Amino acid sequence: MMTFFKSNLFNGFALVIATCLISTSLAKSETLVTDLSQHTIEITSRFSGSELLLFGALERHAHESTQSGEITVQGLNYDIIVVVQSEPTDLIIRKKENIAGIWVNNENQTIQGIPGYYVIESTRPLDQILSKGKLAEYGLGLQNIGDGSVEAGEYKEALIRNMIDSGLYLESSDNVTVRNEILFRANLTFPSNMPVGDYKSSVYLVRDGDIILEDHTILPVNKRGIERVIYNFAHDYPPYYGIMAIIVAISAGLFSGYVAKKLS
Amino acid sequence: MQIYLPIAELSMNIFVLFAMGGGVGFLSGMFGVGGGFLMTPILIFAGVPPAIAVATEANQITAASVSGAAAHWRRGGVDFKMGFVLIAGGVVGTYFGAMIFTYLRSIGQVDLMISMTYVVFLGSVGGLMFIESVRSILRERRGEAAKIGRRQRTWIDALPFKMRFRKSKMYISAIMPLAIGALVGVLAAIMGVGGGFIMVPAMIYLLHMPTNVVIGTSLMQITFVTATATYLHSVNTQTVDVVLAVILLTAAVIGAQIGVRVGTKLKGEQLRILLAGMVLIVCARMAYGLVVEPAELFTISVIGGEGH
Repeated sequence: MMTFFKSNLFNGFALVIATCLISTSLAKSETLVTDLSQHTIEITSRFSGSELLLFGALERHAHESTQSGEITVQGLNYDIIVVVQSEPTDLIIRKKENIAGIWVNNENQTIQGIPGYYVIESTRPLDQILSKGKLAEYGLGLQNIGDGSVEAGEYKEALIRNMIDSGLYLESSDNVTVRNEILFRANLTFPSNMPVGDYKSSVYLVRDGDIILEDHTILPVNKRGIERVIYNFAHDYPPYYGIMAIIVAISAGLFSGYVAKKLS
Repeated sequence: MQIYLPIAELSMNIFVLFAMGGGVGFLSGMFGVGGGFLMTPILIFAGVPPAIAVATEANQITAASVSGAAAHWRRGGVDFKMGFVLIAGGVVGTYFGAMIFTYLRSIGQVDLMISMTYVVFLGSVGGLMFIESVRSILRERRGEAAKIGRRQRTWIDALPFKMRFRKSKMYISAIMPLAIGALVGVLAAIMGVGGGFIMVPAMIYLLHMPTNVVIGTSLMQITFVTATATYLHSVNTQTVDVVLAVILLTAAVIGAQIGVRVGTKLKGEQLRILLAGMVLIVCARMAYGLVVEPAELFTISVIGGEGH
């Protein structure tokens, strides 16, 4: 075996194999560890929106030890994309038109399977990180929202514009910060009108125009306390909720009338 | 301090809600009106989805009218038989009103219908009230006494199904009170109002009921009809926000107490002209929203839920 390796020809061959090993092992060598500052969002009576920190560390293993010794790979650019989205739902977009002097909802378009909350944050603008094709493939970015279920046009533009205005959609490259090329953090904001349900938070690690790692976690968003009780009661038992609302109103009305009479 | 409204699914400043409820309560105490026709538009202007504003107001008016109805009942100011006929009509009207409401909501036209009914009813009622109070002020200046017309026989007396209402000392056809009750029921369901502004004049001028039982009987009908509307909206569209209703109600009761005291210092005609002015302002604001091109032509709503 030793004589076998001493041959110059085979030495060269071994180097090629080693290089191959390095590049494949490099592709697998990065590890991504992420976490959220909160693992659920609870909507209570004092809820007025929420902020969350998504943070993590990137282990690059750039010093890969192989049979042929230590090889340092320099000058690799990593980018991080963070996506948080709510469960897909069906939305209807209505367009107002002037009919006989009055602005009336006229035409509409239904969009199925689209998140009611979608925030995508990245270290650089998306189009500088990934090609259009890649973005579409992974369904990343507001233009690819709903995995292409929305046909381009004024309705799609209106959807994105409206949702951005109400703080439910965002595409930004300002909120992800990276420290020492290892630690990263993304600030996420949630408005008070956020839909409830299981949100999905995803982190993508991008290198050289390719997504090399992804990490997904579920972020449940629920109403809590009396808010949850009232909401569930209203939606699960509508007739009883109606009767309860009447009883509350009648007793509150009689009570306040009684108090008012005593006071005057 | 923000409070999250569980059904409206948005958070609002509790002090703003108190101010709104108290302000409307003050005005309703001062003018002796229910205040639904002011509260619902104000809630809509404040950003509450119109469907939720209407349904929640129906719930709040139940609370606002029940103590008044009880007070009049103790004083013997309720014609129960007439009340039940009005309620029978009212429940049918509310049922159809809630059906129209649910249907229009499903096709995305409920906001338009709410605005249009407000413009039509507030415009005509406010306009009539304004003209009427200006006339009576002018008459007073000229020193003329208001003409008291003798009760004349009209086509209303010719209608069949006559009933005797002992308390009101009347023998009239049940069709007219049923129809008035039904109209008020429809309005309660689609506008979130008690409908006193239609029913009280109708009872006085169409049915010629004695004024001592008009208010008590109409409050009784309003209590039942808005309770029916609350129930139907809860079942059909889940749009009644109890938390919002209770906050507004608490503030409105306090406001109304102050309003009543201020109201007694003002003359009847002055009050009516002020009220007419308010009604016309709300009407104008609603009309403005209909005819001026909105900044955003598109609206988004979740299917089966309320839009944000």
